[in-house]
Amino acid sequence: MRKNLVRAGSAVLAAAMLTGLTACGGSGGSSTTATTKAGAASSSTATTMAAAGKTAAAKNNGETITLNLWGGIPGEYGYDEMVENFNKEFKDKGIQMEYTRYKNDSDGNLQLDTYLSSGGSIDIYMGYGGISRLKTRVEAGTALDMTDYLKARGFDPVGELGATNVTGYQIDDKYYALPTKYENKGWMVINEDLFKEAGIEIPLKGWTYEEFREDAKKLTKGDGQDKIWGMYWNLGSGIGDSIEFVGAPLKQYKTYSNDEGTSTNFDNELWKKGLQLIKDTYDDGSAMSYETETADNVTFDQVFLEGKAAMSAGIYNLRIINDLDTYPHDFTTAIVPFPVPDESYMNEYDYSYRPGAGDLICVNPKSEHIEEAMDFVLWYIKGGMAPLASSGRIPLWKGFDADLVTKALCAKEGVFDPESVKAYMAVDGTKAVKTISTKNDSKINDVKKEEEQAFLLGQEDVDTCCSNMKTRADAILAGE
Amino acid sequence: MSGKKKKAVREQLTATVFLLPSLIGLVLFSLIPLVFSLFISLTDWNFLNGMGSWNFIGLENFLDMWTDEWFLASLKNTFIYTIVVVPIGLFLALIIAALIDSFISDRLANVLRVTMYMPKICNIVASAAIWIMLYSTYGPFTQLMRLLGWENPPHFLASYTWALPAIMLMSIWSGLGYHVFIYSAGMAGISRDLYEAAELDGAGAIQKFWYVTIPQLRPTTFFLMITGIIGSFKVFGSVNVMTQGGPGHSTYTLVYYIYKSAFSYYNMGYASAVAVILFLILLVVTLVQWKHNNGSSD
Repeated sequence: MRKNLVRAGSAVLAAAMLTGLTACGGSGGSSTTATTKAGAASSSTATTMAAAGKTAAAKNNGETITLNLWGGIPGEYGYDEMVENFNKEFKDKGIQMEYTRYKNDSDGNLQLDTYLSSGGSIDIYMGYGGISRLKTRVEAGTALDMTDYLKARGFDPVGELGATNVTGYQIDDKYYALPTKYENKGWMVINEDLFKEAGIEIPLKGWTYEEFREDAKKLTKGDGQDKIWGMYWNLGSGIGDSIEFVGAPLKQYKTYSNDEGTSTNFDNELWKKGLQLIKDTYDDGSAMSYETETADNVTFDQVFLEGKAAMSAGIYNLRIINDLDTYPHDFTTAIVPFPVPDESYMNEYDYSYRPGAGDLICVNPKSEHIEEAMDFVLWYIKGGMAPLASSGRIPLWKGFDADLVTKALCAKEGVFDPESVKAYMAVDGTKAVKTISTKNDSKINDVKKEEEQAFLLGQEDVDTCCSNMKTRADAILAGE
Repeated sequence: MSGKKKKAVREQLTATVFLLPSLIGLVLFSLIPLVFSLFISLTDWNFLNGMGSWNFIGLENFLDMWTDEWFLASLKNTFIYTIVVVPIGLFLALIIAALIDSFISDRLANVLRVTMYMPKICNIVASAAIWIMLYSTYGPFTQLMRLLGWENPPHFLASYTWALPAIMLMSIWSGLGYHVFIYSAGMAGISRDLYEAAELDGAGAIQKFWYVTIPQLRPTTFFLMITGIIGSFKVFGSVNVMTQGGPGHSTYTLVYYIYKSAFSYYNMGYASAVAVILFLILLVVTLVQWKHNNGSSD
């Protein structure tokens, strides 16, 4: 039977290769197109900020140390430049860095986890997949408890990064990871040109489900190859982040109904209302059908960036929206909040519903250069990551000048609407919502996805979907 | 006497030395992992926590799985897959091999067989990627179905009803050339005398096929059936690439679920337990088939 596993393993490798071939459309894959990213603004930010953020220099007896950083983004999206800056600045101190890109999918993460658990030579890595994947890594002992190191360096994550952003990633009040990028999944992207054409106001201040549905219908036009959908839900690669907004108003009780995480909250009316909204847009034809999305493997760039949809979920795509060389398009994208169930939720926009941050930087506890790695972590957060801003990663540290970041992100004229970027970045980050998480997160997530899929494909109605989600998830929780 | 003994020892030693590399391989990569996974199936091991970080939980994994709907779905789908793919695949291959053998000139026949063999050489992942395209909304397969009068063909890979059959069809296609090849070889080995004798008895083409070819090909069919069933029970690549078990769990298969338990939920113990079940199923299948085959050839 072991043989089967081994064979499965080789199939996995093969599958990983295929994912590289077919599924990378959305992420830019291993495209060799080198693109010059950093505008003057961001480079100068890099140097000034980095100078401010420096901590005790490493002592290493004249030998050069090479730190290994792993991240899920291709080097040309700012990482190469960031590493170059670091190497220049730390050359005298005998610290250098190498960047390795892993694919942020299940196979890529498995590769990273295997490397980390077998010791490996990774010193620092960028983690994705939120608290549940972080938790797995903490349990496996592959994420360093940085709390004391941060204290020793006088860095207070709550003060410097915002309570909203860090609280959700604390485990037992300790910091095993720090979010570095501002990414608020309560927001989505729209094609401003299509909105203007249809005479619809850009909903910078938020909108309700009802308004959203009306607009989606108005924005839908054409037929066959010329069809433009009002909404593209971007669920083809999996029901995940794209529908975060549905449970978001439930704040910390989005998944679990109590702080202990012993039962789930999926039978809540807000889940039903949100899922029904999505289904309604599929049914009335104002969104590309879910069947087409899944069966045809369509990706964000093939739909939204080709101008085939007026709105789309997937705020993490700022990077590829800004990459005109690989994904040329000539419309302006605005960032707007997701709709809310009704008017009474409108005032909730003054803070983000969930940890509005991503790109979790972690240090491998088995690294031989923990002190140096920690120096890098702070250097990166406090300015080093500036070259990434122009390719769509918004730095989280409050020391960054929001205007400079906006400028860097909007360096290419007409790609983003600067007003919307400002609104997006102005979200108050001081109110914290602590995500409840259990070790069954990934199983519960799979159950949730299966039932949502069954609902969206018309196999069951919304009540059955939500009650099945709850029954099945609760049974998993009870089984432990 | 002692010289003879010495020689015997030397011969044994030589044999051992020559066998050693493959023996080491067998022990390292088959035997030890086999025993290890038997042991692991009785624990709750998360392999990320490293060796030794397991708790012995007895038969819990083996008991839990019978209430686990993912496991039950995987088991059911794997059986359906095997029951459909193996017989249909073999039947089609037999017909095609017979047609090639009787009606097509040798040179063309070889070209045909090699062409049909191609999918077998082709990596399953690459084939799967092509079939995803074939099955897509405007893909050639879907268009073909429309031409054949299917007014509103579904999105095959996104359909609870059609996703598994779609994967089965691809598997039959990818195995066909290999089966034809083996059948052709089997047919070449059938003595012409038998056909001549049958002709003298007044047998027509169909009767010759039925009373000479099929019985003579029994060992070939048996071989292909065993390897086919074993192969079908291990289906993974196509599922992982084409549907990832979905929609819902309509295309979960045993190996896919083993993979999922091991590398998504990091539950090595449970994954090993499912693997043990798979091993037992294959063992039973093989034993039954052997017994049946030996019994009826007496």
